[in-house]
Amino acid sequence: MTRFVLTKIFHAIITFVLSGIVIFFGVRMLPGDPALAMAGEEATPERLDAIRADLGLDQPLIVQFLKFLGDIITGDLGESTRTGLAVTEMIATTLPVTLWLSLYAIIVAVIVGITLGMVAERFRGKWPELGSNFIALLGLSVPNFWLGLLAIMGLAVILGWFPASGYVDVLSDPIRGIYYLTLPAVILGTSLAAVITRQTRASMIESMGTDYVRMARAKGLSRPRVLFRYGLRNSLIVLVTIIGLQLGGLISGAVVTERIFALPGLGKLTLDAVFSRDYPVIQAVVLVITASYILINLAVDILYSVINPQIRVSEDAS
Amino acid sequence: MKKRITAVLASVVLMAGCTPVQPLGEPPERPDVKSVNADPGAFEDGGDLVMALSSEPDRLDPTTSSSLYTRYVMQTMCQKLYDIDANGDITPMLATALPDISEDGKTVRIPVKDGVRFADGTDFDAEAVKTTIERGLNLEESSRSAELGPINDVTAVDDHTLEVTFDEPFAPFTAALADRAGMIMSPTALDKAGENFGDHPVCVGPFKFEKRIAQTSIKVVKDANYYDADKVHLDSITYQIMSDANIRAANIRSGDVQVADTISPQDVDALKEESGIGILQSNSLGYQGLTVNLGFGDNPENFETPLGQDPKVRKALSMAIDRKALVNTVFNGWFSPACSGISPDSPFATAASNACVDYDPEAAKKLLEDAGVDLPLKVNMKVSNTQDTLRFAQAVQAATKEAGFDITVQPMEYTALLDAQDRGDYELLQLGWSGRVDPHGNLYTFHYPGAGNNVTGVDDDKLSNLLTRASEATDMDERKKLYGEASQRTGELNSIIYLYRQKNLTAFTDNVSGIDVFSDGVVHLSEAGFLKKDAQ
Repeated sequence: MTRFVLTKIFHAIITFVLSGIVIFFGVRMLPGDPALAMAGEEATPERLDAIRADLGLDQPLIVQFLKFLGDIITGDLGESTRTGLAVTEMIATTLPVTLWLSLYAIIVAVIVGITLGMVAERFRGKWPELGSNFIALLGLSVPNFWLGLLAIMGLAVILGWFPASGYVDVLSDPIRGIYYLTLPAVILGTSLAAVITRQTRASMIESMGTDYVRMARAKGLSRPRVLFRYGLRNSLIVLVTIIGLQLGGLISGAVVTERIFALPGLGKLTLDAVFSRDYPVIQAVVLVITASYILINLAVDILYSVINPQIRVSEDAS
Repeated sequence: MKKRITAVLASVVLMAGCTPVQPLGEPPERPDVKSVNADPGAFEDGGDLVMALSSEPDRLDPTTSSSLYTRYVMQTMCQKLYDIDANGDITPMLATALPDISEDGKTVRIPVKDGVRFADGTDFDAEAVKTTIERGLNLEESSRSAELGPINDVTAVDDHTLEVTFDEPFAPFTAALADRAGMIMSPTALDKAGENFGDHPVCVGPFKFEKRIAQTSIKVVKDANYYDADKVHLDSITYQIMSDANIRAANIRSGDVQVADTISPQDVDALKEESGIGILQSNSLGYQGLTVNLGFGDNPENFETPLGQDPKVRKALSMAIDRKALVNTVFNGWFSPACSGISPDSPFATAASNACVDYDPEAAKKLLEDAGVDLPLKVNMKVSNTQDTLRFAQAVQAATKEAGFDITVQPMEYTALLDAQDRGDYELLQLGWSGRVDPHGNLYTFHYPGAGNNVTGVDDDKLSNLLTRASEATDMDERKKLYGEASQRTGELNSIIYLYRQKNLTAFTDNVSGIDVFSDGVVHLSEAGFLKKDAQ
């Protein structure tokens, strides 16, 4: 087990370093000049040169790359070229927003997804199953931005039940914080809820058809008890893995959701930084997102090997 | 029967999809509405007003800032020596009168206010003005140095009089002081913060800087040190960055924000009809146009073309565009045609600068034939990939076919387009300019050889001479005449083919008042406030 975990951690580190290289050179391959994006209308050759020198963009690429590596190691991610604010500070203020949003979205998705999946299994061949399948299909196929706009128009503008934008820190004012995050979290959680619905339905059908469930029912256990104790419990193993793998998708989905609801999160920060060619911010944010992907995958791999030791054995053997 | 109904329905859908774009009739009259102002007694003091900003301001430093949106935020925190009024005329703000200019035009004296304090409690005086202007001239990263002109020396004659001497007369100086170059910064704060002044700007203003959350919001709070604090109604203003026009419109509708800038012409008619929402509209001092590469950059393929080399071909392109019809069709008549770099709303506008080339596709085609080019003439046009710009570019593409042009539209992301322009990597390109109060800022930098924004490579002695004389003349009528002649010359050279002028469209909810949007496009919220219930 220790060898397996150490190997996985080593792989994660290698992936992170390679990602760093790709991010650095990938950002520099973007068309457009950050100095020009910064100077905008008032761009004069002298001002552009001054900005380039200030940002170190007049240095050879390899020098810039070495500085980038040095900065990562020392934890100094530099300043935003557009606003002059410290990048670490920008990430520190935006990351919690995305984390709260993602956590809330997962909770919504798990509750809605498992409920709908169980309903589908319980009423197989009847209209509740059709309804559940239809909702799952909608959730998978309707894009976030469209659903978000509809939600804003319907629930914020017409009915006025939720705010159309804004964010309140969840820790300083939990009730208002949750209220402000509800609409975005529901929108962000929709596609994950759809995936969970389908997965729950499929694994419940499988579990409920097994011999031990038939045995449990033959023993006279009530249907709800069989459903929760044997059906759902066994399905959860698969669900944990699915949810883990979908977390990365949530972070990228947050880019769109945060933009629509003007939430001050990492997603919005990334998108705006790309548009203004803010190299230090793009690099830092993409690194943070990459690191979280890698960590989530590492955790899922380890968790999965704990749940299903066969995985560990087969990988060790290979 | 079922098949027949399906066929009919399908035809209807197809026909609806294929309906040609028809030019609209004359748009309704849309007179400017630049302000909404209630009686002083109608205001409910206090509260936080939220304004949706369409783009993130850059550094909050008047010396280095280059974003239009920074002006929105700065104007509540950093008052200028001068400002413009609803008519576009320059009026004193922190100065007490318009500058006193010597007869040779080389010495300018500016009297400044007494009894004024910066947000940090220190005194505002001529020495502080001198510090600010010198920073604008000397800071390496300054965006202001060119705007300030050929300054020789800056002196604080006494506490309340500043004297600036120039190597050559420079008439646009006063207008520059009505923009960011004239925002006076606290010398104490500058000493403390240096280049990082923008992290926590300190100036004279109704509001002072409170906090900034990157890419998200900027908050300013009422400044107790402000000399005219009685006129300030709000406790604070939060500028919330919302780059999507639909989202800004939705937030105005829901009441989550009270003011929103840059409303799309596609949304404005619907918003105008809704109760509880008002629209401010003012013509822009800027323009949108086609930039032609006449010889700029390293790639001759971009300019050794009939368009780049022959003024007749450029004139043909200008004549082939029915500006009025296109603007009406694409922007629902909200924007207006443009044929020069001087807005008809500018105090410098004359019949000569307002004159427009006739739309005449037949004559345009004849010009092309005279120029001896093979028809249709293939032209590559780079444009920004925003929805409104693409619609306009496609309309230009379709409209110029008749005159013999075959334009390929190449959409690019805005930053990449700016880069292509700066490197001269284009044949024809569509971009605009947000506009300056003084025509110098709209013409000289684009048409004078080697000037900062001369990305077309135009080099014309007659035009250069007119622009130099206009910047050195001190008499208003003389300047108007010279800029009129310069506009005529730009219309002959067509290095920039002026197309249309946007309107500054700002939406507000009717529970607030005291908002102004003048022709420089800046939304003024300094005297804004919430209204009492019975006043709404």
